[in-house]
This record gives sequence, C-alpha cells and structure tokens, in this order.
Amino acid sequence: MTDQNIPIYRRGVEEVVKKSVDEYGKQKWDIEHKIFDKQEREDEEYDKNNPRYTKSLQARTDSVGIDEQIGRKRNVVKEGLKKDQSGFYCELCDELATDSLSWLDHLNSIMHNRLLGMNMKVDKVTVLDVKEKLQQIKESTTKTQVQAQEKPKSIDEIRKQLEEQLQKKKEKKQKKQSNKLQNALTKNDEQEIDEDDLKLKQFLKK
Amino acid sequence: MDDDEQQEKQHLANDGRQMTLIDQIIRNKVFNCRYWKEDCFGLTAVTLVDKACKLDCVGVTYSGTGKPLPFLCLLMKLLQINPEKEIIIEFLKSKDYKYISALAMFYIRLTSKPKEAYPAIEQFYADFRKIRIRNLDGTFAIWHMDELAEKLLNEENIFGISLPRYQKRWILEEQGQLEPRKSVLEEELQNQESVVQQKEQEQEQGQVQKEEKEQIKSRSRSRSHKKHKKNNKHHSHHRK
Repeated sequence: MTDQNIPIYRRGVEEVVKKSVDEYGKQKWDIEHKIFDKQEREDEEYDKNNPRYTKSLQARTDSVGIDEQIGRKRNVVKEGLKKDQSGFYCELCDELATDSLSWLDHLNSIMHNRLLGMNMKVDKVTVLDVKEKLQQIKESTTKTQVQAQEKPKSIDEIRKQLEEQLQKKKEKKQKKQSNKLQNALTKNDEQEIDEDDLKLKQFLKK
Repeated sequence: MDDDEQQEKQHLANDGRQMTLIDQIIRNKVFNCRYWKEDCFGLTAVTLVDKACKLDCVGVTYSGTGKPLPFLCLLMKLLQINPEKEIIIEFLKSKDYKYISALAMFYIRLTSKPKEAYPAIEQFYADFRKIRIRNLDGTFAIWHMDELAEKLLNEENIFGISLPRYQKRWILEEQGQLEPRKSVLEEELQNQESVVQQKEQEQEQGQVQKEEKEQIKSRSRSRSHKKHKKNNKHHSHHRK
C-alpha cells in the first residue's frame, strides 16, 4: 500500500469506494484506502487550467449585517428547519450560529471560503500597489472636500427639495387610495353575483 | 561579535512567528474581538490602508476588561502578513495620514534591528503634529509625534506592550555602527554661526576704522560726560 517514492510528511489518505459482485450475484461495496501526495493536490489548486483551481483569499467589501437585525421582530420555531430557528443562518453551508462571534467564526472558516471558491492564502503585494492606493485615497478625499466647499445650499433650494418630496408622497398616497377603492368595488360585485347564484341553486333544489 | 550574532539570530527567528512579539494575554484578546474577525479578515497591505485611514487614536487596550483598539488589531495584522520593508517605509513617508506613520513606527520598533530603527524613527523628532491617544483606563490625551518617537526609542514598555531591548544610542555610536544624529536645526545653527562670525569681523573692521578716525580727529569728548547723560535719562524715566 505504501508508495516509497512519497516522503512521509507529504502522504495523505483517501477513501475510495469499490463496487463488486459476489459469487451469488450479490452487490458489494468495499472501501479502499489510497495514499496520495498532498503537495501535488496543493499545486493543482494554484493551476488555473485545473478544475480544482481556487482563487486567493479576498477581504469582504460589504458589511456582514450583524447590526441590521437590531429592533426587528421575527417569528421563530423551536424545533424544525435550521432556516426558521433563531440565530444567523448560512444558506451556503446550511449552518446555524446562535452568537454573533461564532457567526463571524463561521464566515472566516476554511469550509465556507472553500465553497465560495477561495483558498486561505493572500496575494502578495508590491510597493507600487501601495503607492497607487495611497494616492487614490488622497485624491478622493480632496475631491469630497472641494465639493463640500463649492456647494453650500441656500434656504430656497432646500425648501424646493422638501416641497417636491412632499408632493411625491401625496401622489403615492392618492394612488394607493384609488387602487384600494377599485379593488373593493370589484370584490363587492363578485360577492353579489355569488349570492344570487346560491339563491337560485337553493330554489332549484327545492 | 557574539552579541551581534545573537541579535541577528533573534531577529531571524522572529520572521516565522512575528505575532509572538506581543504578549499572549493581549494576543488572545485580539483574536476574540469583533473588529479582528469582522474587518481584519483577509487583508493585504493594500486593503489595510483603507482601514488605517479611518483610525482615530493610538492605543492598545482600554477599560477594565482590556478591550483591544483597532490600532492594535491592525498592528497585529501587519505582523501577521509580514510585508516587505519598502512597503513599511512607504507607510512612514505618508504625510497625509499621521496614524499610518504611527503604525509603521510601532512595527519598525518591534521587528527591526536598532541599527535601522534609530534613524528611521528619529526623523519624527522634527514632527510636531498632534495625535490623539487612548490610555489604558480609557481616557484620552493629546501627544505629539516627536513625543511618541522619543518614548518608543527610550522606554521599555509602552501602553502595556513590552518592547524588545535596544542598546543605548551612544554605545552604538562608540562601536561605530551608527553615525551621530544630525538634527534639522543644524543647518540653521551653522548659518547663524556664520552670520555671527561675519558680524564680528565687520565690527572688528569698523572698530579699527573708528579708532583710526578718532586718532586722526580730536579727542575732546570725555566718557564721564556720557555716563552723566545716561543716568539723568534713567532717573527721569522712573519718575514718570
């Protein structure tokens, strides 16, 4: 079983299922332990042509959303699907975390990131990238400062904006009310017809 | 020679496990805090700049339970990703963001040899920008960049982080590893000295000329007369 060519620290064991048929025609599934080279597998992950390829680790840009659920009400099941229970639910891994810190632990875990198609190693960065980034941030901050200085809003502009917003709200309310009225009218008509039909049927039965 | 070799060995040993430069108690607090898990995951030296721009204060931990501050978390991240020296120097140079250069100062003090650390940190002796600092009990204070540089180089413990021991500067100078420090004021001092020398020379020349003139002209004026006048003026001033 042992391959002498692979050094001991590189050996990994893998289970392989082998199907066979007995003398009497009975099916059999035997598990065989196969030894493979760990380093070869790792190299495969960094090779772009390989289906095992995973991209390097990238930081999250959007927030995790722990604070968004504060002050919200939700119906919760005590026993049942993990999705409906209380806590943070991960749809990718079908896993439930009851605590914010354990939720973050799950998001940083190897299995979760593997499902997202990433390995746990970070790209190497050169000096030029850092220089560019520093300049970018400087330019963006100066731009925002200039914009803030250029446009101090006058009171009339702010009043106009507020009036426009109020008008939009009013229009929305009117639309909603008109829709409600129409719905109610159509429903009433249907009900009347139904009642008439019932009366007729009862009359005919007698 | 033996001391040098030992020091080099120590610094080489730190390459693999630089995180151990910070004590275990503080380290574990960082690993369990929210900022580390949420914001510091998967950062590179480039994306770390985004976070470091938003820093408010310099500090390590605060309050009775010792909550770690973002500054410490980013310092740990730098120790973990172990960037090239040139990148750290680039952080030092960034004059728009003082907290990034403070971060780089801490990193250099923890990791590099005294031969390189002294000149790198000493350039902040001429930097008088204010920085906000959070003490261990949670109170804020105002320091300046030169204060921070001075305390990093001369003290063994800052905000509860024990710094690696450095030899005194004058010992390194005597051994010939370091050159004596050049302050920014040195040029001005030299200029002033040259100006003073020029003035003295002019005065000497003027005195010589005056003496010659006096010798030629009459010597009727007496010094006692001058003194008398001065004294009179002095008294009149007091009476007012």
